[in-house]
Amino acid sequence: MNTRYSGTIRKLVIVAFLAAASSLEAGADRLESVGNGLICMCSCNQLLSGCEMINCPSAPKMRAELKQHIDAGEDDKTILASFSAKYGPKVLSAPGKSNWFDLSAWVMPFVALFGGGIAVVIFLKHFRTREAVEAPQQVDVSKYEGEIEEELRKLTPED
Amino acid sequence: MAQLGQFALALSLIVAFYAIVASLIGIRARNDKLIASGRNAAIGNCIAVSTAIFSLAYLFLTNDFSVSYVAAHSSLDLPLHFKISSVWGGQEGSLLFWSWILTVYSALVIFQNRNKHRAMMPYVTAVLMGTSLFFTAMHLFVANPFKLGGIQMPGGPLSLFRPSDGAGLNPLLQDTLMVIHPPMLYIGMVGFAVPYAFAIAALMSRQLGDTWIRTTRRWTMVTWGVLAIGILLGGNWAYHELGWGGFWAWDPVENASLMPWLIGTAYLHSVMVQEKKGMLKIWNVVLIVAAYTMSIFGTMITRSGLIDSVHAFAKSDIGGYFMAFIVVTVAGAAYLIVDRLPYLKPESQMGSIVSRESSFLFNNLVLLVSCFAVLWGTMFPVISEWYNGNKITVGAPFFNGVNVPIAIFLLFLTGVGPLLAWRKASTNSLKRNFLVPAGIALASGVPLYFLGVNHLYAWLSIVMSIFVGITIIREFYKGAQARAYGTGERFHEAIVNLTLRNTRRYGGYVIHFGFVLLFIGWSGQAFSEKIRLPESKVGQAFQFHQYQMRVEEMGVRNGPNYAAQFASVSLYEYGKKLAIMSPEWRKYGGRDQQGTTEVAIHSTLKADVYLVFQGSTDGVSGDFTIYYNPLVMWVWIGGAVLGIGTVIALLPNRQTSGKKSVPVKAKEGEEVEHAV
Repeated sequence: MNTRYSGTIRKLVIVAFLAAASSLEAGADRLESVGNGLICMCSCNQLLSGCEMINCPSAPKMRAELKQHIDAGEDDKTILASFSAKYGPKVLSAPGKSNWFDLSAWVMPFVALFGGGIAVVIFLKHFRTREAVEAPQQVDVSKYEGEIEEELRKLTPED
Repeated sequence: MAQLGQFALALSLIVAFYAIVASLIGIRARNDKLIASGRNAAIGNCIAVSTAIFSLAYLFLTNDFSVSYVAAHSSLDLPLHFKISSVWGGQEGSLLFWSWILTVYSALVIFQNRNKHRAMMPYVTAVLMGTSLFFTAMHLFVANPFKLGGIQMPGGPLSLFRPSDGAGLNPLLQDTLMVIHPPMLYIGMVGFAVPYAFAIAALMSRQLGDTWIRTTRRWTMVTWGVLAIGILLGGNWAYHELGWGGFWAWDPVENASLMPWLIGTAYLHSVMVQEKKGMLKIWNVVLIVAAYTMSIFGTMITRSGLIDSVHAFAKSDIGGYFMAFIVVTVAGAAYLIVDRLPYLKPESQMGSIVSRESSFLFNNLVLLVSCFAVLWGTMFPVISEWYNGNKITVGAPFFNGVNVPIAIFLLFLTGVGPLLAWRKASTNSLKRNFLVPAGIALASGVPLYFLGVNHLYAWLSIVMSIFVGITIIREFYKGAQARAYGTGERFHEAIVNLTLRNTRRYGGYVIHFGFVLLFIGWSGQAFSEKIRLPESKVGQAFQFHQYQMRVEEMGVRNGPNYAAQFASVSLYEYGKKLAIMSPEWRKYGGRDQQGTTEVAIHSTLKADVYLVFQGSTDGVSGDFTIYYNPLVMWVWIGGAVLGIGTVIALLPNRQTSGKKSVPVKAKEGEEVEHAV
């Protein structure tokens, strides 16, 4: 009888645990996602959701505070703003996007990518223009390309 | 022994200075004896700094706590291997270690090229010894590892004292990987000094062909590969030691090692354009100066207190000296580049925008922008403090938000670049090379999405990895097939011989494949999950994903210099027992007030189960955090493949029997010999 019931009990326990765990995870999702927007103030420089320092003087308190805000139904922006007001802007894990200076942190790398891309294209065009002026008339070799590729394939390719 | 170390450093200062003067006067006066004397002085400098570092190691091994640095970073009960790693475990010792590797590199490269590149080598000696001189001055006057401990009352004499025991090594550094990881990083970062010295020497001697590049190719490859492995080992250390479930947190110290590596990667690609086409000469000099400068800059920001970091060494006033050194380095290099512009003209022109050389340019652009993004994010707190007085934080969300799309674009170029022809890739070859890999990658994206890969960047990264992986495998397949057809070799023999006949190309492909695996591993981080289980009791069971876990036991055990609380947790998957995991919470004596975690990890190719135990107050219940980290093992496998690829790329090409190597034609009056 013990064996008969133990299997059922184990299944029930697992189902109950799964239900509990899933509800835990659902609540934890928001703690995790908003916690990723905050830095633990214990000087570990970790995200609040990632600080696992034993006996951390900050993380448990900050997490409890965060949970209170979430339970009060506040949205992410309001929560982050209230943490910033309390702990200073250093508590936010990334620059904001509300003023041009903070926004520049996000934009500059892509400006560099865009500007660099234009510079590369100009460089290539410049040299190709010179090539067009200076290089002798090119012979159309496209009809031989297949044969050349075939021959090259028989050899070990070189860099 | 402290006095011997101190004397050796003083000697190093004199000898390095002499090496600079003798080399520069020797080349001006065309005095071979003076040049040889400078060369010998550089080798003597290596012996002096070696004496200093071994003296410091001896002081650690003999527990000589009269030396402040030893007392601050070691203790009687510290295991032997950690006493050795304590040599570089703090500010002063790590700088001395940096210096030592530099002098060993210098001695090796100077000795190796003693009969070559006569016009360049005296300048190489002078530049390397200039760097050594700067560091030795730092050891002697700013961060002296041999300083004796003592108390000095205001206006009174210094009273020396020797504590009975030391404070011990930082517990987080008491990990076997910390014996290997920092030396690898230093070997990598310091290594950029060699190609930098050759670049400056080439500018000074006006020998600006590709001799300096060919001579330093292997040095640069070793430097780059070791730095890459060092960075990954650091990630592995963070993963299993810090207990936060990840391996890369974009900490400024991590970023400091990544920046020179990114520029070094750009350099390794763009030098191929110079070797093949005689182009990008200015660019290559700029890149290697930037890589070297970033190495010095990284060394500075981890030690100056400029940036807050959990990994940083103690704050000190070395930042100003380092900044001055960087300014001199950059200004000197800039002047030389501008002055030698007529010698840096390209020998040919760029091909089509769809060509190998163009792809290298775009690759360089993306790598440099990535480096800029890391530098920008690392320095932004300092900039914001200057601008508005608020030192804001720039953490992982920023770096991931900016760098992940850039990295995915780079991965795309990794697949495209090697398959483009030099000069111009025809439409036919583009179709032939890319249609199948792109088709398969896109087709596999659909099932991936329905299998749950619904995170945009992770999906893009895996699809792109499939694309790049197929292009690489096809390159090997096509090459080996052609070779097997032509030579009658069996297919697997053809693959080996193909690789060994062009190690640089195929080693490069293996490295790229390593990156494909790394990207797959990184993609898994998007699906990482965790659960906190406070106050869990012995006998309690948990369900997490497909795993069941049961706390079997909690107890106490002692290590050589720590006391640990441990938990034994059985791990099951669908009812089948996989492992017993045994995480610990350790408390070290001395400086450790908080305790550290020793996580237990069950790794498979699919996912890691990562268990953190935060200790128990009553012996029967404790706090746990469990992470489910998909695909992490592919990061370490990718790192190993990258290392293998680097070794292959370093091998000399196997010559075909009967084929004689053709001497390289001298250009612009350069010497013909090549060191690689």
